[in-house]
Amino acid sequence: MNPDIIQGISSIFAPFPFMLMLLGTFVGIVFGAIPGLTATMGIVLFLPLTFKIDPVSSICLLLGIYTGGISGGLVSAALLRMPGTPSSVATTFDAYPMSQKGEPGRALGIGIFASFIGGLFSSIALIFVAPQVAKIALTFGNFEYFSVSLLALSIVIVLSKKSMIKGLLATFIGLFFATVGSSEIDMVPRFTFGFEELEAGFNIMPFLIGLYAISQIISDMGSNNDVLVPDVPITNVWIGFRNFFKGDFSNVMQSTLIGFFIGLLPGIGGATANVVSYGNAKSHSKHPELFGTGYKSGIIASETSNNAVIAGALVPMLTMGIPGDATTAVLVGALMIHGLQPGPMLFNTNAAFVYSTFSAVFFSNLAMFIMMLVAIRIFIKALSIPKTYLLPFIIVMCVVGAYALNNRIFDAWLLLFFGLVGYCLEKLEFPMTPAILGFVLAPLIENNLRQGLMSSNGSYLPLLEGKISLICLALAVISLTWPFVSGVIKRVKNVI
Amino acid sequence: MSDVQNCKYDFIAGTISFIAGVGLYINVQMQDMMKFDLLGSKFFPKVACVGMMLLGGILVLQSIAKLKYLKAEGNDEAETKESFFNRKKALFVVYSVTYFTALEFSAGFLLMTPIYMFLNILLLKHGKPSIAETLTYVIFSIVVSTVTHQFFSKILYLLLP
Repeated sequence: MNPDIIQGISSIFAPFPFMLMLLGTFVGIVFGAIPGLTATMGIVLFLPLTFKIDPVSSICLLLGIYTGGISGGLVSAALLRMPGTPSSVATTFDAYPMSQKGEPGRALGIGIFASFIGGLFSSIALIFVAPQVAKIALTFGNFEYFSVSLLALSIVIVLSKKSMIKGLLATFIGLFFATVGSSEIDMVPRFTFGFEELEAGFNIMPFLIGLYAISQIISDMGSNNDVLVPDVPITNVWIGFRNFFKGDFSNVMQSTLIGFFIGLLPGIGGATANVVSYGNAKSHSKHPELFGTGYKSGIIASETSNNAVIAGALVPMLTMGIPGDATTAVLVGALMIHGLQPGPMLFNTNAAFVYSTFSAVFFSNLAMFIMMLVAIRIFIKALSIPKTYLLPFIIVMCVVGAYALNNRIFDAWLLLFFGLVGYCLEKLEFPMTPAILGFVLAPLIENNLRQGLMSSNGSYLPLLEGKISLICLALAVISLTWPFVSGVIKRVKNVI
Repeated sequence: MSDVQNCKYDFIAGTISFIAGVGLYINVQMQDMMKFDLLGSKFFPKVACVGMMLLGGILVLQSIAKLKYLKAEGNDEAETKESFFNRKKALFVVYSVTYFTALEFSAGFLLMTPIYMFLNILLLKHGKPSIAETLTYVIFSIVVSTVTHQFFSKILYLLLP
């Protein structure tokens, strides 16, 4: 066997990374269980803890939070009809009615098994798919990276739920923040307004913590923070693998594939995957009328797919360095803090680390399964943590996280600034993900286009000559223009 | 949020975005930059500014058109108003500004953080806390701040202000 694979797998079983993986999974489930706190927020908050530890331990902690965070959303979805994370929306459709029928333990059990199987199968798919994608990505030049990044951004914009104009505007706001500071190609300072601190640009940490955590805290100030404690006895959580798969094997496989492939695409994520998968399971079921009444297949479809998204989302992140959503954008930032540049070269220069990442996804999933089965009552208790204690603690962690990266108070000020920006964006119903991806992808887009033009002596032709760049550009144009074109087609049809 | 309020917010957001785009475009245009490649360092900042300007303008026009439509439909005075920024949110910002200023002037993490945490707990608490609750909050703030400080400085060797 490849020594990198052995080293990668064995390194996560060292006591420290393994302990952090367990801690991350536990914290992630708690974050996922509490409505309003998400896996992304958990990762952002725990990022400062990783500054001084090795990359393998860091990724174990962060992927543990990611896996736990997505799975934990099941708890409040099943018991309170409140999805703990957007990835658990469809779980409420059947898990809650099942709980109301007096079977909360079974509802949670099916969800836990589904999360585990979805995560397990997709992490196996990750191991086989990612190296192949990385091989293709190795052939990418500047123009290919430019066009793939542009395509990723265009898909995210188009998927802006309420208004595409707002999605586009949020992207340009993200692009603007990314251009602050010295240009990477020629070190020309831009938008620094005389502030020396701005010459290095905005650091990703205060940007993400502000936009995600502080904005949420500002929203919670003055809102009703009463905790909701479900008063139901939890029994029969263990349902057994045979019972789980009985009559639902094809549903499990389809939902895993849907989740994995939706994860591969930028900007869609678990929130869409679980609803798409639920719809697919319902349309292929022999008993579609039972969906929404506390039906096992409904819970399986939703929870299998949302956990399968995790491994799917890691493919473009690890192989091309292109994050598909806010959570993977944070993970890219985390790797860069440790001096690791995600992309195809990572598979050559740090192959052992890549295999550690694959193993961390696999084993944090296993850890989540065991923890949720054994300690489900503890996670239900997490729902009753008063926000009066939780949020001030989170604020302090945010400040420490922003400050500790460069040891300067200026970053704490930026934290507050981006918190207010994030709050305004949220209040004005601007989507947050395009702003974050705009910020993260802007340097990739700018640097690759400029470097590409320098190497082609100013010619744009290579952009159209390369198959990958041409296809990506064409898809980007189609995805951006499709909403308008489809609107025109609808109007014409209505007139006719 | 009501439709009318939504439109008003969109109008304000569009206007701010448009003005910011114009201002920033002028800023980047006035700056002297050497050009090492075809595009130069000004290109992408300009793209961002033009994008903000154009989309801000479209948002303004869209919101005006929607407002006119809603007024014509007679929906202009409907529904309750939801405040954009309440007193507690403003106080959180004031506390944060004070806290960061104090840290800037070397007041120290261990001294300022318990006070900041305690004030935030009071902001989040509904109604007036009892004496026992107040005491619990004080102890919680001191303990959490001290543990955080010790953990980051003694275990992770990260310097805190």
